Amino acid sequence: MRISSALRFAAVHKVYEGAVPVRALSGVSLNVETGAFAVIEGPSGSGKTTLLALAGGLERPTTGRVHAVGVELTALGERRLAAFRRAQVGFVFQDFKLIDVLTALENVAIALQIRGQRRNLARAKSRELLARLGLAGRASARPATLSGGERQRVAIARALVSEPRLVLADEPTANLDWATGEQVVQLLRTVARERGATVVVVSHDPRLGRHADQVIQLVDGRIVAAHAKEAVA
Amino acid sequence: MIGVGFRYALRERTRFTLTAGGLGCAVVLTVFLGGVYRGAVHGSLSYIEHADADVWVGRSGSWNLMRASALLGGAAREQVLAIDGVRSAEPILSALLPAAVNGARRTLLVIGLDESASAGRPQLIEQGSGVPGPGEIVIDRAFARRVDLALQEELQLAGRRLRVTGLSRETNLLVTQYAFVRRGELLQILGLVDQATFLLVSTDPERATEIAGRIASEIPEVAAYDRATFLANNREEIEAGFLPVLWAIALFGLAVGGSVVALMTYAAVLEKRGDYVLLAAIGAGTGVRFLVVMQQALLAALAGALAGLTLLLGLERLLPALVPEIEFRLELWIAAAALAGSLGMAALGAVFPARLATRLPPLEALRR
Repeated sequence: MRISSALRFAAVHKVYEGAVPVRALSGVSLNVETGAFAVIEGPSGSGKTTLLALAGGLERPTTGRVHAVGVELTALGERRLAAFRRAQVGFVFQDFKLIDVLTALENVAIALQIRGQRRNLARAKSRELLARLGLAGRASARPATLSGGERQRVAIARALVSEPRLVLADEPTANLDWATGEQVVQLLRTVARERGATVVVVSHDPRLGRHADQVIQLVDGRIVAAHAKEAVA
Repeated sequence: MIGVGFRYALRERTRFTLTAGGLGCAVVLTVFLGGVYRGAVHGSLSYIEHADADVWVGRSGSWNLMRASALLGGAAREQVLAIDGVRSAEPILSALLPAAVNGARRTLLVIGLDESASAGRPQLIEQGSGVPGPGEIVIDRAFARRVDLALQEELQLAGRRLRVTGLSRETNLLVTQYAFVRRGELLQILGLVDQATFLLVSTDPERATEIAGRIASEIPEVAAYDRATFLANNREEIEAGFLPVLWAIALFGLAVGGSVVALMTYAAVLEKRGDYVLLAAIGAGTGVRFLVVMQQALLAALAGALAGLTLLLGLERLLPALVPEIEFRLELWIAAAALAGSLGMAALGAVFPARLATRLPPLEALRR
């Protein structure tokens, strides 16, 4: 049976030029299956964030190819990369990155509005998703009044509301306590699955691997281990 | 989405107030000068417009009322009356003369009128009479207020004591004001006999241009203008004195306003750099980010311009009491132009910060 790939790296190298060039990724090749919940583990400086940036079209590899949801990102210009992110990718950041002048609802709806959806429809969809994430009563709250867990759930709602095919999460539990982190990851996984999204999480927290269908371990810009679900379990 | 910029603007009240205040000051400065200019133009032209003259005849080279100093001899009137189509020709004599009152010295543009004159009188009279008798003077109401002079009180005009018998309106030229006396009195003051600065000629209005042409061609050393041309001449004289300065100050005001917006908006973009980066990361196009910055600048400009115009509306009512010589006219088109100019300079000032917002790399969203 052919398994479709949501994210594929083929011999990807990434070098940051400078007085002293920094090699962030060295010959990385990987496949993340469609609908999977993949965790990329590794210590600080192992290249996790670079990998996520390449997967989300935030930058380009020095050499090699990156395919995400069937699109070869290395061939796209800036405008088309932005369009790709808008249409296909949802991001969850470690520090939530909510816009403090907007309410929780507006922070979620913004992801739809930049896609051209009407305000009322965007708000209705966002309200529904916030409710699904247990934030029905916090829709009008500003980020400053939300707890860390609530903020991350709003960020997850923003990542998922436009029904992206790929969700990329950068250390989503790093700023949360253990219990809240567990809860947030469970929600991310469950709701993403309901919506048919592939999730790639980068983290240095090895506990996240328990939730994963795939675990990829990265050290010094190289994949040192990759396990499918059965192996993880 | 399309409201994030407005939210930023309103959330950062101090910055918003400073930006709007800077723009408001630029608007007040520019509109105030424009309004004073319009007031001066109005004051200058209103008298000419209401002087009941279809044709203005002066000595060759005398092309406007304010600066005319050459004189027509007494025979000129008879020559003009002999031209076919001329119904009447009333002489007026004008001179800039020093006036002393209540210890203050001022200069007045004094118009000497004949006793029987039907043309050339001030038409808009606030108090008293518009026809000065011997030893009498009609003065502009702004001048009267400025020097604290009331009806029946006296002033000295070039050393001659005259009693105020009338206060006129729309006779304020800003730098000076019109005053009206008997022509005979003015002739005596100036040491003249029967001269006039202009003849105010009445004709069939539809033939005024043709008759002006004939007067100019048939009578030597005179110039004649129909009313519209003479109004345009006087407007040109005022514009030549006012407009270059006005434009310079207006452009300076706009530049200052634009700089305030540029500086404040630039600071706002740097402060919210993370938000712009986030927007870029989640796929917001450059147009969206550009718009978010522009919204902040335009809202501040709108608020500043409206605040400035409101202040000017109040000033329009207060100025006659505070500084009577200044006739300030806040006209709708000036207000609209100020609003448009304010928005324009805000947009211009925000271009650089907006471009900065569009160029921030989305990759920064992943930096901690």
